[in-house]
Amino acid sequence: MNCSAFKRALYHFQADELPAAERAVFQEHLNACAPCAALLEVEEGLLRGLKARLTPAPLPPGLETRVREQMRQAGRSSRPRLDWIRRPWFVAMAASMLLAVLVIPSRNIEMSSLVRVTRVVTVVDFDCDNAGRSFEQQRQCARPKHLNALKLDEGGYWQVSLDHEIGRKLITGRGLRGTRMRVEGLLYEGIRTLQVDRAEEVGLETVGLIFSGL
Amino acid sequence: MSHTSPHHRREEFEETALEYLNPLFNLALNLTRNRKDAEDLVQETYLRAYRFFDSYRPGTHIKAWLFRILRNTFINRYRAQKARPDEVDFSKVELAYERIVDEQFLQANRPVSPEEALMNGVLDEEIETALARLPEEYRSVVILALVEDLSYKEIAAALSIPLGTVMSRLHRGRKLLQGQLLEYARKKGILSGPVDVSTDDDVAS
Repeated sequence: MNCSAFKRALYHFQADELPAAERAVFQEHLNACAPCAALLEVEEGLLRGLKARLTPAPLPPGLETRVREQMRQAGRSSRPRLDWIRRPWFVAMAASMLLAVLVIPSRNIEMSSLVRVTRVVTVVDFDCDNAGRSFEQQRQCARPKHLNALKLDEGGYWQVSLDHEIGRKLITGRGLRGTRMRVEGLLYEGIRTLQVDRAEEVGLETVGLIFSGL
Repeated sequence: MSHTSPHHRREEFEETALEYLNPLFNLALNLTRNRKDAEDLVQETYLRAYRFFDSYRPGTHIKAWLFRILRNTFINRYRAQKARPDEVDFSKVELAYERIVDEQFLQANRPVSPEEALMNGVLDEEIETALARLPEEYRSVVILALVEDLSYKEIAAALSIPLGTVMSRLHRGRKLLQGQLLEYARKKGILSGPVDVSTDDDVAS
């Protein structure tokens, strides 16, 4: 190590962020080079001085009380609305209305292109997946308006019809997001919506068993 | 955070999050440079965190999460509204800083601990001004590292930036800050020498 490399590594050394091997090389140079040892001493003095002088500002009186009160007010005003909006019947109704909007203008297409399919898909939160969020983030997402869809390996999505119990559980199951499933049912091709008759997690038990825990 | 009822989870969240009120206020004050704005920023941060605490992932660092909300709120709401003081130009300061250290601090006959004399000689207001003149991206990292003692990883999580960026911003931020303090000290006669950090184009070029 030369003096330039020492200077570049100096702050990493001070933050104890150098890997062990590099730290040993740094230490070796430090032992042999008086100017670099002096530089380290200066930088340590400046760092100590800065830390001592950059002290946290005192908290304004009453701020904690105001923050607590604000959160409690927010809790009181939002809790009933959120409890109501998260109930399964509301989610199912919202999904039905969404589906109706999709189905009604496309009824002719729907009836003319009904096919039975079996396909391996991935269950995703439609909005989160479109936004590029990971499956872990999708499972954490609790937004009541976010409904699941089936993502195709070749790209694109199928919505799920609410006609059957399996479909309703597929749409609302947060824990299912990211799961690979073999789904079987009638596909309304024009509106890309699947009426699911059967679904099973790939490689595991049938979805009936999986859903029993929901 | 345990998996109890939503009500209890919220209460638990409230208690856990409020432990960090002081560091959040400190960062807010350093970002806004105004006590009233800092208080508003902190209150808004807690309100947002409270409303969206479902998106908080248990097991992650709640302090870093709160810092992230605060900084995002600041960027969205406050930064565009406020006149910013003249920010230092890193390209001018870095080389000048190194030259001052070389010429003033590393001489064979240097006095004992000139760095301590320097830190004792500058006023709190001068340190505040020097900090305020750092570009925001450097200032946040410096505060989180030097005042809040967050690790590089925690800072990366708090600011949503890569680890390497944390390191480079902290290193540059420190040099910018120390360079300004050296300049204050030179102007006050604590240090001698001809180098002027703030205007030394010759050194920078």
